[in-house]
Amino acid sequence: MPHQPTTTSPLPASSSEDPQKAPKRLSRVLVILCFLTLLLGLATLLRLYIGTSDFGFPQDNYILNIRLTRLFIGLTVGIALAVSGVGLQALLRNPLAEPYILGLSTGAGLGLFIVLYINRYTTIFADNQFLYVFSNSLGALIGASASMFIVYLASRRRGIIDPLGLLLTGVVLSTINGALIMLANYINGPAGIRADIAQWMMGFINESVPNSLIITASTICLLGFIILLTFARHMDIATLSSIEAQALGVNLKFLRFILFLVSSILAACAVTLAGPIAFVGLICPHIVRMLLGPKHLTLLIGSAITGAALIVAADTFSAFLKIQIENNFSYNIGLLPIGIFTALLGGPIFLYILHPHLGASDA
Amino acid sequence: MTKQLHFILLLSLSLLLSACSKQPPAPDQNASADPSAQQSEPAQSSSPKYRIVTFAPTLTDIIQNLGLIDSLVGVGEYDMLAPKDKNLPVLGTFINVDTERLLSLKPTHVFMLTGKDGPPTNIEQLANAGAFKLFAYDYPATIDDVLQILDSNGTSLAKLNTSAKTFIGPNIPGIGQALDRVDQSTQLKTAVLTRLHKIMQLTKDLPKPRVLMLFSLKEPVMASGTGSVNDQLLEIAGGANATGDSAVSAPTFDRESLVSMAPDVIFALLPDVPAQKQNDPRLANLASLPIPAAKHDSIFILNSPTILVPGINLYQTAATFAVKIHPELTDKLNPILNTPITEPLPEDAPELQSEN
Repeated sequence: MPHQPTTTSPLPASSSEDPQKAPKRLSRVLVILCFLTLLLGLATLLRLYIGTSDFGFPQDNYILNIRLTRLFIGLTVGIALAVSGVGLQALLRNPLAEPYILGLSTGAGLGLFIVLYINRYTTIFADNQFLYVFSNSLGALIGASASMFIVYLASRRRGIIDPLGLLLTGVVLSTINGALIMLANYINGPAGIRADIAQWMMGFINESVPNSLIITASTICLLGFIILLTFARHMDIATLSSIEAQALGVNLKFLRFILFLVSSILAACAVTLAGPIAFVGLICPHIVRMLLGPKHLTLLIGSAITGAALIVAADTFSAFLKIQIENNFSYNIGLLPIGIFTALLGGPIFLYILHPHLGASDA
Repeated sequence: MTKQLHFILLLSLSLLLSACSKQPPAPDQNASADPSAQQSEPAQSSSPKYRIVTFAPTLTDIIQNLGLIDSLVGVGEYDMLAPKDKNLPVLGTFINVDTERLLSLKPTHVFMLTGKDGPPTNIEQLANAGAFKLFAYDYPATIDDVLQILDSNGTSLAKLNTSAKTFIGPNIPGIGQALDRVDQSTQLKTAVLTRLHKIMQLTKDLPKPRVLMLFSLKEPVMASGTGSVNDQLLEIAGGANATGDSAVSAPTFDRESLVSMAPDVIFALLPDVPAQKQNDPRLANLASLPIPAAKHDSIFILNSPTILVPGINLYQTAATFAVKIHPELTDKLNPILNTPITEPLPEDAPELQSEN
C-alpha cells in the first residue's frame, strides 16, 4: 500500500518518538538517496554510450554535443516534472495529482498549434530568423502560462487558492483546450499540422530547442527546486488540517501560492522542452514516498533524482531499441517517443495506486 | 425552489425557440428534390448523364482530367483539388459519410479510396439497393495503383522498371470504364506513363543521391518511408530514399540520426506553404547540420498543392524531384513539367504501349 499524503502526515506522531531511531533513519535515507544517484549516474553514462545512430562513446564532437544536449534536456525535464508533481500533490492534497492536471499540457499544445499554423501558412515569423527559431517553444510556453494564469484566477476563494477549485478548474480548462485543439485539427485536415501536434503529444526530447532557452529553462527549474526545498518543512505541516497548520505558524495563503506558482512554472518548462510526457510527475513522488517516507525534504530530493533517471533511461531505451531494430532486422523504425516508455511504465503503477481507492468506494 | 423552476422553464423555452428559429440549411442548391430544378443547373446542362461524388483529391483530379468536372456534385473533406468556384457540398470522409446529404444529391456514381476494410457498410448497402453505383478502391500504394484507378485495362508499370512492381490495386473497373471514358482514360494513362518513362530514361545512368523526403520541418522530423508512391517517383527521378528499408510509413529522426544518415538532398513536401526564399529561416536548423544536403544547398521546400496527391500529376512530381536532384537536366525536364497532359510533348518521347 503506497503512502498517501492526504492520510499520512510526514510529521512525527508525538514528540516522544525514540531519539535513537533518528540516526538510523537518516543513514537509511542517505543510503537510498545514494542508490538512486547511482542509478541516475548509470542511466547518464548509458545515454552517452547509446546514441540514435550507433553504440559507443562518440568521437565526433558534433554527435557528442547532440547527445549531451539531449541528456541535459532529459535531466531538466525529469527533475522539473517530478518536483512539480511533489508540489502539486502537496498543494492539492491529492496523491493522484500530476503536473498536467492543471491544463498546462493542453494549453501548451494549443499555443504550439497556433504558432505551427502561423508558420505553415504565413511568413510572419519566418521573415525573422530569431523569431522563427524561438517560435515553437515560445508558443508552447505562452499557452502553458496562459492556462496557468486562468486556473489561478478561477480557483481563488476569498483571495486564497482553493485546492478543490484548482483541481476542477484545471480539469475543465484541460478539456476546453483539448476540444479547441481537436476543432483546429479537424478544420486543418489530416496531414501537416495535425501530424505535428500528434507527434508532439507523444512526448519527444527536442534538441532543436535553442540553447539559450534550454539554459533559461534549466536555471528556472533549479531555482524552483531550491524554493520548494526551503518550503519543505511548511509542506510537511500543511498536510495537517488547515486550522492546525495555521496554528503552527504556516501562512497557508502564501504557501499555496508559492506551490502553485513554482509547480506550474516547472511543468511549463518541461512541456516546452519535451512536450507532455506522462506519468513522471505522478509516479516518481510515489516511488520515493514508498522508499523514503512522506517527509517533503527527502521526497523532493529523491523525486528529482528518480525523475531525471526515469526520463534519461526512457530516452536511452528508445535509442537502444532503434539501433537494435536497425542492426538486427535492417529496418529503420525512427526514434520512438519517450512518452510511450514512461506511460508504459507509469500506467501499471498508476492503476496500483488507484485500485485501493476504488475498493474503498465500493465498500 | 421557485428560482430553479424558473430556470428550468427558461432553459426549456430557449431550447424550444432555438429549435424553431432557424431551420438547418438545405443540403445544397444542386440537391433540390425537384428534377426540373436540376435541369437548370450548369452541371446538368453540360454533362447531364452523371452526378458524381468523390471522396479523395486523387479521384477528383482524375475526374477533372477526364473532363467531367461539371458532373461533380459532391466531394469529401479536405479535398484541395475540388473546384472552389463551384462551392460543392462536402460530404465527410470515407469513414464517416454524411449519408443524408449524399442521398439528397442523388448521385449516379460514388468514388472513394478506402482502407483494406472497404467502404462503410451503410454506403455499400445503399449501393446494393440501387441508390448509386459505388466504386471503392484501396488507397494507392504504387504508381500502378493510381493508374489502375484511372483505367483498369491492364497495367504498364513493368516497363518503368522500378523496384515496386507488385500490383495490389482494386479488382473493380477504373474510373474511365465506370464513366464510359475508356479512350480518354487510356490516352491519359499512356501520356502519364510516357512522361514517367522519359524522366527515367534521362536519369537512369546518373548517380543516385540519397534523398530524404520530409512531411514536416518540426523536429524531430517526420520522413516518408519506403514503399510509397513518392518513393517510386523518387526512384524514377534518379534518387534513392535515404531512410532505407523503413518499418513504419513515417519514421521520425532526431539530429544524430540525420547526421548519421547523411542525406545528399532533402525535400520538405509541404503543400500550400509559402514558397522557399534565399536563406529561408524555416530551413535554418537543417542547414546547420553537418550533412551533404546542407553543404551543397540541396534542401528544398516543395509546396505544390498536389505534391502529396497521387493523381494524374505523378509525372509533375517526378519531374520536380528530378530537377532538384539533377539540376543539369532542367532544360530537358522543363517541357515535361510544363506541357499539359492533354497536349503532346514538344519533342519525341520514347514510345510506350499499354499492356492491355
